[in-house]
Amino acid sequence: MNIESRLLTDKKITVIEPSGRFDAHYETAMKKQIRQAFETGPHIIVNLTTVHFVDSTALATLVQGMKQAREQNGDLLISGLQQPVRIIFELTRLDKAFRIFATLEEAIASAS
Amino acid sequence: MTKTILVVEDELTLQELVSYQLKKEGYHVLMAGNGPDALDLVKNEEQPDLILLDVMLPNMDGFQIAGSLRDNQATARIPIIFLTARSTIKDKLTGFDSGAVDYMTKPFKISELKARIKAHLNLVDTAQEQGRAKLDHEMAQAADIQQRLMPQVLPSIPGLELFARCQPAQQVGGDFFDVTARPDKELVFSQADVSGKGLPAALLMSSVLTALWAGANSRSTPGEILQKLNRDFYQRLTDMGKLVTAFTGIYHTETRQITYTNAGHSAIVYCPAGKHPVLLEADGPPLGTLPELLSKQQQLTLNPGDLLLIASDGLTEAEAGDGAMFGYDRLLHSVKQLADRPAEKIGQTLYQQVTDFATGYTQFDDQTLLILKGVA
Repeated sequence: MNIESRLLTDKKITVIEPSGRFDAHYETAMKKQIRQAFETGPHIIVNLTTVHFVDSTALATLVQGMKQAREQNGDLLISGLQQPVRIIFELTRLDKAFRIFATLEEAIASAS
Repeated sequence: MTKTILVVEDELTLQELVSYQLKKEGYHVLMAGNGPDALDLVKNEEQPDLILLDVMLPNMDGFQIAGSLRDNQATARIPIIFLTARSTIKDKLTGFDSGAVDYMTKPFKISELKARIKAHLNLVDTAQEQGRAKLDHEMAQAADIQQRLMPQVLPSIPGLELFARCQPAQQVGGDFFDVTARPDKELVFSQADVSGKGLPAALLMSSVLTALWAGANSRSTPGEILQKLNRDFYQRLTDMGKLVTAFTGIYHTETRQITYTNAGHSAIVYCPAGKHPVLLEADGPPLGTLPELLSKQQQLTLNPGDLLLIASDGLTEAEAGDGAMFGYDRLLHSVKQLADRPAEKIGQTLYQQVTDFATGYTQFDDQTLLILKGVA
């Protein structure tokens, strides 16, 4: 799985884009990306448009990032859930913990 | 498995000769002409299984290089054989002091070098095997302890048939279940899944299970039990970056009522006698997600023939060769087919179906199943 990350400089938001199967193997890499994002600011969007599966470790990593962001008066938003991943968020009711957007654009608009 | 040998020698003809001979023996060979290059190779490219190290090198001598490798935990165990023209006893002792396992004086016979290399690599293999065997043995003991933390014998409750099994993916895991009979004939049953797998998940599982026992043995309701768990563990779960999905239910023998609370634990199937099974969705996220538990307490009845099945996601996410998952549809379908059988039979058959579905593929996640069936 690949993780791309880019900073929207004008808005001071970091967009992190994992792709494929987001599972325990990428825990360290993802935590690193989130940590690096925080160096610029507490606003992160994790765009999951190309992710087809998330496991419990991935979800726990996202929750940790969200809590850290909120502690710094920012947030970690989720966007672009594919159907199978949306189901996982709904069954674990993590859809009640995160602010989730259908598209990256909507998430960016909300964070700005 | 092909072994890698790093040859650190500044005399090019010797470097080439040794490398050529070793490659002929089937080794993968890395070469460096000085200390800094050698250290760089080891750090950034590939860790060799053995290093042939010339003592007289420009800038950094062999003893310093060996010392540097010893100081780094990652490279400290790589066997080093010194190659040198210096052969006084003092040189040899300095060599061994700096961490080398052997010492070859130039000029040496290539056949002797090969023989010593082979002997040292065998020693490393044996040591690693012994290390693994010891670890396996300890893990097997840990697995045994973990299984014994869960009830070995299920209580006999009027009006109920029970089935419970936890099958970790690795020797130990983060899933658990508990079944506790209270003095007033209430049955407290729980299932939880700590995020992650293996030893880290198992350690946390142990802690949460102990806290759960306290709740199960008290007079608290399922909602109160999970709320307390969430409060008590929230800070630690946040620090660790972990979540725990949890389901706790209490069966009341007199009324056949089950009160339950579900914090993010999916795959709860309720199948009233003769009807279609339904998936009971959680109404709040796992423990450790939010400072206050969102999940509310719910209720259902378990009349004779009714079935309540709680499965961890290791079952629904079991994968077949083509990447397809067992999934919720298949689970509901199976439950519908098996619902009129005894709880024990349902449990065993379901496990078998998941195993058959995922044939040839190693179990990836812990698989736990808890079944309550109403009987007259």
